[in-house]
Amino acid sequence: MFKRYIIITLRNLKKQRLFTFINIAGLAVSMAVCLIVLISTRANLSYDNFHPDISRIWRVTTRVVTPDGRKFHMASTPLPMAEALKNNYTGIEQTVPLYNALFGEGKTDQKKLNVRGTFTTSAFFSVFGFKLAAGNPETALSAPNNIVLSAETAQRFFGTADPIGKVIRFDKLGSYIVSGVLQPAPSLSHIDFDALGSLSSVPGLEQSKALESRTQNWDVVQGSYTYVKMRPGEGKSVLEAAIADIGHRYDELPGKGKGSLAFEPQALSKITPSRELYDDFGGGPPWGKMLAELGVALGLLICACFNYTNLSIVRSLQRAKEVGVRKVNGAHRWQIFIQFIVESVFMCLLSLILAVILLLVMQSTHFNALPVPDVNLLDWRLLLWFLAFSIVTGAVAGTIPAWALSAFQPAKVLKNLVDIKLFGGLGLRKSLIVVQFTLSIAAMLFLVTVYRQFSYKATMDMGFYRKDILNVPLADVDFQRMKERMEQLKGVSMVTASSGTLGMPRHCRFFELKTNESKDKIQFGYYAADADFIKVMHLKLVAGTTFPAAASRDKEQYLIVNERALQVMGVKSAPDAIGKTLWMNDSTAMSIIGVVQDFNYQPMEVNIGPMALRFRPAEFGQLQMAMVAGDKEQEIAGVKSVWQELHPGETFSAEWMDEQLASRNGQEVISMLGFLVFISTLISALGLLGIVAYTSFTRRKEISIRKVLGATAPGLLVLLSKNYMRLIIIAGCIALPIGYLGSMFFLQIFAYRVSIGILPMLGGFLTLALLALITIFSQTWRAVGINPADNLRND
Amino acid sequence: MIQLQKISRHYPVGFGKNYILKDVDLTINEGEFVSIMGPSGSGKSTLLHILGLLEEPSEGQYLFEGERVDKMNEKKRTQLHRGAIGFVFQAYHLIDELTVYENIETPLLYKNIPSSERKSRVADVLDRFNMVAKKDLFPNQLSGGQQQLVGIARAIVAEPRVILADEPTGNLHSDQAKVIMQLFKHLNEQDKITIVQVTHSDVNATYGNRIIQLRDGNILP
Repeated sequence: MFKRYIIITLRNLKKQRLFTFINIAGLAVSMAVCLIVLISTRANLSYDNFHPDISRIWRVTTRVVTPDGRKFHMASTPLPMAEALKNNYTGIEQTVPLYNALFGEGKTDQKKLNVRGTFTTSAFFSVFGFKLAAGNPETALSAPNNIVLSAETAQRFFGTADPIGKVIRFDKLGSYIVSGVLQPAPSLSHIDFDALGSLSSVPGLEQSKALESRTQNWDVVQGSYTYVKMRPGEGKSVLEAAIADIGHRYDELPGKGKGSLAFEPQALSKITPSRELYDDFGGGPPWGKMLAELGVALGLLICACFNYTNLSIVRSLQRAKEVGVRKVNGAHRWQIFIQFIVESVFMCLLSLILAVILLLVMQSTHFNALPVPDVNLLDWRLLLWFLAFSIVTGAVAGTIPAWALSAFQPAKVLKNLVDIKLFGGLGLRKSLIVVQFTLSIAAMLFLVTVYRQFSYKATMDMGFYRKDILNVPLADVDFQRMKERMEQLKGVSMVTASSGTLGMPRHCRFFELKTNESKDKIQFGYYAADADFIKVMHLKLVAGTTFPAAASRDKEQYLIVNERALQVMGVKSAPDAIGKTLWMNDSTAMSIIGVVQDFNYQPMEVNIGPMALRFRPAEFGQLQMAMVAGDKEQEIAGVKSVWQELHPGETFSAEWMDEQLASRNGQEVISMLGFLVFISTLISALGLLGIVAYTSFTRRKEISIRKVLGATAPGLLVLLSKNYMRLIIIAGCIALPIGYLGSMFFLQIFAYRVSIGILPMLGGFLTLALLALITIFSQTWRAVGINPADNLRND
Repeated sequence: MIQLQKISRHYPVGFGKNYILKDVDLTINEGEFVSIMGPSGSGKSTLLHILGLLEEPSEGQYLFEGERVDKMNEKKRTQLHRGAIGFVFQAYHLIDELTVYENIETPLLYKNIPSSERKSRVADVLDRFNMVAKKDLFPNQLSGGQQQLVGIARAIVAEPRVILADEPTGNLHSDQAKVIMQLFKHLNEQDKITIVQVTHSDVNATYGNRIIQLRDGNILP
């Protein structure tokens, strides 16, 4: 029986090539997108699923209200919290503190690598599911200055050699003996560090002032985290009582107008996908992003399923006789139902095969419109997921057509095909088309705005120069020395050292200053830069000068601020500001030596705030070199040879500033979004094509009669097409406000934004309408061109 | 075997009703070969559809082997279709996507007959109708007469007690029609299958042993 269903499905697919193509192509493309999302969702949900007794493990979080009334929910807690919980409350079996202060450049005799680590205790191994590949979990983190490396970090530092007992040195944080190596975790975890240092090292570091004093400090929340494992049988309420008890030490805060502080437990299993707490760490994706991905994939899939539903219902005229015959021959309704479900599931499986092939091709050719995750697609567990997914899709897409087809009454179907009422009549199919086109038109309108905004961002003058500037890392070489060497190169016209690239997200740093007059501190964004920065970046000095050549490299004396800073400080004119003193703390003062015109030192979407340039060679991270226009390859080669000379054995990297800015400014978002719009348009156009093709086909007789009675070709074309055009226009009317609103919300993110262009939007809509028109005419034209004699004779 | 009592079939027209069949009483006994005749629109096909449970009568009672079937639910009706009634249509109504063999096999599939028995029964029927050579052809590769033979083969393969034929020779020329009618007569006499056919042709009607004349929804006495 099952075999028979498959056979008849195959024969039908072969007979109805257009129908098959539309369905399988549409489904395959949207399924490919869904599969990508499925992979990433699976990865997202696999976070932290390997810890034993995960239901008993919690993280303590902090709800902070600042004195000025702003509320933050922070993932971190004061550092002494873990110790206090463990010692004073019987319901708690074990606690793990994490103190993310172990970062910086780790050095061995041979290598220098950036290490991102945390301080913790041996309880780390008894609470979490992490295992050691080498070393003793009981003692690895007990003694001061011990360090446990992740498998990857151990490999990077020591290759295949045994790392146990080797020493890693940090500039500020001292030397550490490797006491263990972690096994790679069985799945992703939000606790993902290069190294774990023993927490017992911290008091020593605090005494030597390498770290601020935190071990007994209940007033600072940032950067330290508390994980708690409860005793079996002790639940959330016990923990809540314990942390509420500890929270009493903050009871007097609100009275003093210092805001408030309270603790709250968070289950380990609920940490990822994250709720975007402040001061969180780890790479878990936020819920919002995950849901957005799922939404997009689902939207596309629904579009493709609509196509299937729609076409199957239209086509049911051709299958009606078969249904009638089968029923007369003793088929139950459910048997017919199953037959059509099998058909649609089969179709989905074909699409799945195509989709997987598509993904494999994309993976191997590195076609970047869609971020195909770098996983083995042919893993059997993944394929099983895919399989389950496509079976469900097939069943869902096939339900309505199967229901409609299996409802046919044999007496009516076999007597007179023309009289059959299709399921839901035209209404249902019309609404499906409208929904599809609404989706793709709205997506299109949204994309138009996104595209305009991003190209505006790319071309808008942010107030600094970005062309032909090559960024090269300093990598611990004195900036003056490297600068002098680079300036001798032929292609280099000017060189400056800086802490980061203007306009890049998170490159701007922050500090606080006080004026003589004001009581409150003012927050400043800053870039560390040398004297030539203003010239290389083409910034405009409104008053004063750049840093003097004689500026001290160790003691900071001078500041260059922007005009916005003057406003905030209450200084009327730029020349007045020169020589003004600002206090970083009670003993450190700096004077303003120059004022620059405001420019967008942060990405476009951030408003311009008070900002300063500081001469701090310690913070310089890169050289920015203005190059002479010319052969870029050759110029880079020249820079590379000098750089290699200064850094023997290290790998050279350089980036053009304009490319760096463009790549971080959402170019990928555009291409991805563009691809999705393309797909959704393609799918709805295919759907329309199918519907028009089949309705025109079924109206052959009517067209023939009209032709015999003297209808002209243009008249018929209008008659056949106008219904569909009306649907497109209705879809447009629904989609325009949706696209408009979506664009408006999108533009809200940006401080500097394009106006919502009605004209470009209409342009986008008209393009789609034109596409639809072409689709419709291609089919109706064929129907109009038929020879009436053929159809009338056969009927 | 079949008893119709005061069967009517009508559909609403405006505020009134338009009767296709009105108060039809009819009894058909086991082993009969009945021909229903009448001009177009007299209700022949509707009567046959009611007999075959494809349509429900608006009024009246229908007893099949003593059991009331006019108010049966779909499940029981399907059971009757499977076991007791075979259909033959004027337009053959073969499934275009299935071969001759598969078409004939269809009713057996729905009766859940095991594969080996299905094979032997389809082979039997093919053999009997001299169609073994054509078993892998599709309907559109056959002549009209051959298609109708397949239609009849499909109707009898499930061994029904009644065959209802709606103008089985309407689309055929007279030589082919003769073959089909002789086949029916043979099935009636040898296999003791009750046959009810609707026909326009006086010649075909004479193959049966009783003729019922319909006029405007009534049986002429």
